[in-house]
Amino acid sequence: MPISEQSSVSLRCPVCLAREIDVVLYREGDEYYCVKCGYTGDESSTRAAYEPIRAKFKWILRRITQA
Amino acid sequence: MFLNILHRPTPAHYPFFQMQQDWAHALGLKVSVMATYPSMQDPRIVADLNEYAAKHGDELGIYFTELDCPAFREKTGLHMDAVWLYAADEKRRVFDLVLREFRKCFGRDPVSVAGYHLDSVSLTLLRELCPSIEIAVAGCFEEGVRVFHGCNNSWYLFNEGMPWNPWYPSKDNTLRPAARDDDALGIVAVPHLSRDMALSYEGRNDYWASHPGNAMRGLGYKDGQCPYTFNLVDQYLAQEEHNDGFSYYNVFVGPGWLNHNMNIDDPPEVAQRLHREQYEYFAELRSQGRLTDMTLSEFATWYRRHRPIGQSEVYLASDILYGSRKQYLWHLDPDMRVLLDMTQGGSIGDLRPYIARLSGFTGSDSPSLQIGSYPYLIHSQHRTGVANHAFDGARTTLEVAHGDEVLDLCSCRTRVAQLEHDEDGCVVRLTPTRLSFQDGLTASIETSCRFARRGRIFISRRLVEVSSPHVSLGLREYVKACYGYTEYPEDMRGIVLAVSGEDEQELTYDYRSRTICADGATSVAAVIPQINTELRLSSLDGPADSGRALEGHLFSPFFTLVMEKELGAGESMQTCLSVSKVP
Repeated sequence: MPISEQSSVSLRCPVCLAREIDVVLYREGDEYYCVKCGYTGDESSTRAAYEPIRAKFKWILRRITQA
Repeated sequence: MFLNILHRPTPAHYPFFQMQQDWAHALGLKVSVMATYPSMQDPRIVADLNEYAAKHGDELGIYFTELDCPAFREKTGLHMDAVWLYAADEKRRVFDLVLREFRKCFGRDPVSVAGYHLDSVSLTLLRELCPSIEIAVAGCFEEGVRVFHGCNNSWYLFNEGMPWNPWYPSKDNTLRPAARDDDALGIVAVPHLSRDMALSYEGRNDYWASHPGNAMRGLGYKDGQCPYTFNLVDQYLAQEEHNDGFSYYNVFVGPGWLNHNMNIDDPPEVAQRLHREQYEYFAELRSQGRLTDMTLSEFATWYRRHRPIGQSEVYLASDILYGSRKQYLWHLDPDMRVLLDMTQGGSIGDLRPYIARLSGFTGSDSPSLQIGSYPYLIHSQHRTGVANHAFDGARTTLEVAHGDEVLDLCSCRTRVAQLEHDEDGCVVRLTPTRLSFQDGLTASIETSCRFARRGRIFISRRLVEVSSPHVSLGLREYVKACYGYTEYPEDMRGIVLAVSGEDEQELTYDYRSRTICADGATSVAAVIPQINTELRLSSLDGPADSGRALEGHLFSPFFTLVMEKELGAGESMQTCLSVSKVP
């Protein structure tokens, strides 16, 4: 069963997400796994794996113009 | 800038719709509520919508994408939400049912309707069944291949090649802006969300748009902060400078994005706050006199009065997320849509020949089935562009030859130095690109383009300076193109390539890597009967030294048009790349 149906907050595969593909992870115990690629990880390592994706957005916290 | 805020009362997420409504009303922002058929089955929701209309002046219209519910299945025998993909007889049944339900619930005919896509058959039927309709949310700018991939190849919405701003849809193809009154469907269309004009070209349009939940989906936020949302609003505001004071923005976020959402990896409170902050920013801009909020039909009235059919528009897009300083310039008129890529020396990265006036609709009775996209001649993302792995693909560039060495302007970054827009189109001048050859020779070339009606792109290349004043360089205006709808090649057989100059030659495309050429060339051209389009590169300042047309092969399914001229310092080369309709 996809995580989206099991709990209120789901997690997506960070490997697929880095390729701009949304794949909701499945879960077995503490382990999350991807059905589209070989990714596995627990919640904290999965969330940590999102950070390199964000890191490519150098202006992610930059307000470019002010009204 | 004009703003339309749209909400839709999805029953499964109804409290979040109410949340959106409350935020907008508290700020005094005008709202257009697009009722779904399932929502019309719930008397409580119908009563609420009537009250919203009476108390706050909300405009009530219909959303034709969320259809499926027990009543819909029972009354139509159908269950697909994607109304644009039904056959015409099914579309008629759906529209008839939903319009009757709307009249029953709200006691009037709608003036506005919405969907992810409303194709020409859909809008023609809707106009017939409900002549009061003045405006439609009719397409998702550049939604297609990238979203299909991103949604695990499960999202069958192909809307590439359409306008990014409001437009008058053609009665033959809603994604094409009407050329004249008799070509127009008779309503105003607006896009479904305002998209990021850089990242929608490079990637997924559904990550990067006027939709904070979508930006969260793309991970374009951090620590609960998403300045991207405000930066995008500001970039649309800035387009007023280039479009006679006109700019437009709309927000149409389904309430499911404010609930637990499988594509958002944080609690819904973050999405809710970011959404509300966007509305607060709109209210702030309005208080500064920089934004006017309207209902959809109010905007349609304004648009008809002030934006005649046939006007051109430009959008100067800059990357606002990666920090790359990338720039793209979009031009659109009823004859073509063009994208210039300043990171590749001002090459054309996307070209759509609206002038071919191609018809098109979607549905199980359409020859193109799900593919609604207007075809491209050039798409440097889908179809290779500059050489990266094997051969190069669809793109334009200038090659500069010195001895045996050839430099490619696609490898030089440039910027927009000047942009002027008038009734006939726009003129853009780029910052000069500096070239360095291996023997130490340097040169500087300035590029200007003028986009004009009748599908004409006038290209000027001026050799500003050469480090050895007496050395001349070979300039080759280079156009590599094809035609296509997605990222996969179409059948090129039957395309006719021709060169005109001291002699005339032509060949019919058969994937055999042949070349035809002429000295003293005046033009090189390709006639693409599959899309009734001719692409022509003409010399404007007398015959070029030579012209060539190259056939591709199955591992490089493109054709190439080249005009070459020898130039010295201070001299320039003037060409015109044009698209036209052929029978």
